[in-house]
Amino acid sequence: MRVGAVVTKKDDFNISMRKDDILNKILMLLLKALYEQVDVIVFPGLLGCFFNNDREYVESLLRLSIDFRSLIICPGSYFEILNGRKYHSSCIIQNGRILLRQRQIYLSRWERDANLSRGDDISFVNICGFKTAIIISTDIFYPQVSRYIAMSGADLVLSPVAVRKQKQSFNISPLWENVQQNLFFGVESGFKGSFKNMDFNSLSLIHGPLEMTERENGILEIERNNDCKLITANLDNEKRKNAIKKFDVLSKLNIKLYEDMFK
Amino acid sequence: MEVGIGSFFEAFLKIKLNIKKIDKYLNKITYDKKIGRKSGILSVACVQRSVKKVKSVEEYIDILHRFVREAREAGCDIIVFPEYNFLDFYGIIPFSDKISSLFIKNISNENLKFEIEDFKKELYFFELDEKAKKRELSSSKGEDKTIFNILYGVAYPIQRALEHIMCFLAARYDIYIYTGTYLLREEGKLYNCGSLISRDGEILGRQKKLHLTDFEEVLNLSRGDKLYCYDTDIGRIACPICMDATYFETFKIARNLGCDIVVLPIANNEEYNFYRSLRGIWSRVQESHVYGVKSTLNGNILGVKFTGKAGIFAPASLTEKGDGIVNLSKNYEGDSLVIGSLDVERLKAERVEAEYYGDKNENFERDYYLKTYL
Repeated sequence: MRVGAVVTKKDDFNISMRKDDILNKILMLLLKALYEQVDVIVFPGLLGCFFNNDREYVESLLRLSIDFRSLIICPGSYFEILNGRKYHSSCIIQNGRILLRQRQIYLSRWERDANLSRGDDISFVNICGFKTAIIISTDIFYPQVSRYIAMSGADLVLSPVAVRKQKQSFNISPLWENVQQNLFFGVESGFKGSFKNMDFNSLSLIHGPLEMTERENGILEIERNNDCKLITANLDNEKRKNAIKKFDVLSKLNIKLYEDMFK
Repeated sequence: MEVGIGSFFEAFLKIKLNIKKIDKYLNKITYDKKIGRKSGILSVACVQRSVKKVKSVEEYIDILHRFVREAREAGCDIIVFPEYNFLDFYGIIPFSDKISSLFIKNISNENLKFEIEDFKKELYFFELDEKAKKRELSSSKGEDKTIFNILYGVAYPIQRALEHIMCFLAARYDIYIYTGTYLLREEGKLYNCGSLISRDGEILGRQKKLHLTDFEEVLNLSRGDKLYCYDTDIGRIACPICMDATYFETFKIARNLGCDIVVLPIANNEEYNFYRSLRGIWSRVQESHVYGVKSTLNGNILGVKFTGKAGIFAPASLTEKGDGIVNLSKNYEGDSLVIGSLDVERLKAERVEAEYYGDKNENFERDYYLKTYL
């Protein structure tokens, strides 16, 4: 399976842009994904927040997806309003249909201040034989989310991310840490720019278990300082399973030890 | 027959690592006067050391003493020794070449039968006492128990000597010492275990390794099932071991217990790789917002190569370069003492202010154990 993560530059997407201009940019990225023969594309976190509401954004993407029948799209994240509550959410769509909906499980400080609500569970969908889940932004900082996903047998995680500007460490993200302790694939698209007077600066990376990557760094592809708008990688599940044989983290869990972890 | 092998080695090491002999040497060493502590600053030292086959316990004491003295002279409050901190005693053990050969074949799963029989014939040239022969030992799994029984035999004399030396040095230098790990034998099982010793030279507790490597499973070691925390005048400390840091759960439990400092001895039997080392304690420190103090053993012994950089880690926002590193050894081989200052009050304040830490989701967490692990 071939996957792509959208790479943004600072303020590539911003609140002052016309909605049609944003949709045109998205369309160009979908065409690029098609050209690159990508099966799955992930857009960055908060992208849908530049529309009037989640419904407007998701419906626009659903319409666009009809022209890209086989392409599976994670349209980034947005604020979902439901029954008077606001969630940080994402989804996976294909050919005019929503295959999976996901709400963020944990909240950052600014999200708590903005009175967002938390999701309760995690959904899975089968994409080209890969059991797939979404980890939204803040949830990459909470390793229990990734562990639950891994223990459910997931092969692939799609991750639209918008992390507030902070000191960067070694050009890796918390999703890298989660991939290495769970050994699934991770496709992460990071938002860079401003939203509600806050600066965000997240990278786009495609992660795999360290043992299967060429430079033994756990990175299948990473954004570089060029004009590339989409990074891509082939995900070889057999190669991943062979890597797990070399370092089978989950087989050595000490389950009895964890019994009271959340009590 | 198996029983006697371990007993032979135990009897031998009890002589070589005799406590009176150790005390005699410890009391002969010239110590500096107690060095004053730096007020208000918490300083930690982690040992990176190359394993060395010693010819005597005195030589081993000199190695440990040099590190402790250096740490205290630098004003450190705690010094952390690495995993498998006893492998130097391999130089004392008889038939070491034979054992090495068995050991290598054991860990590479080759057929040992022929060589073991040969070894036993040679070994039983010595007279073993009847009591030792009758004692029942068993490993938890595995067909051949020779290596296990040798380790079982050497475990207690080594633990006793190591703890005795460290207790003495801790009291003499007024410093907390994490002993590094040794093999602990308990009810017929062997554990990879380390002790934390107070400034008064008292053992505060022993922590067994909670997650074993393939290598340790082949050796038939058993794992612990509880993480302990220790209250000290420098903060609450947990002491998991090496592979335990591969699991976020270990550090989550340490935080639940209120720990601010996690001590982690390691001995990685693989070539050094920067990213491989990042997926251990560095990652866990970033997730759990604690200080991490990692000591390492390196060098070649028993046909196994160990590498690793000792280091002190903190949440990225607390470090100057934003890389989560307070101090890190320059090389992954050789001896060095890595020293750094920790500010537990600042760490606590950082947790309160952290953007991506400390949230709870009761609905998601309610049945987490059941839905995730069972």
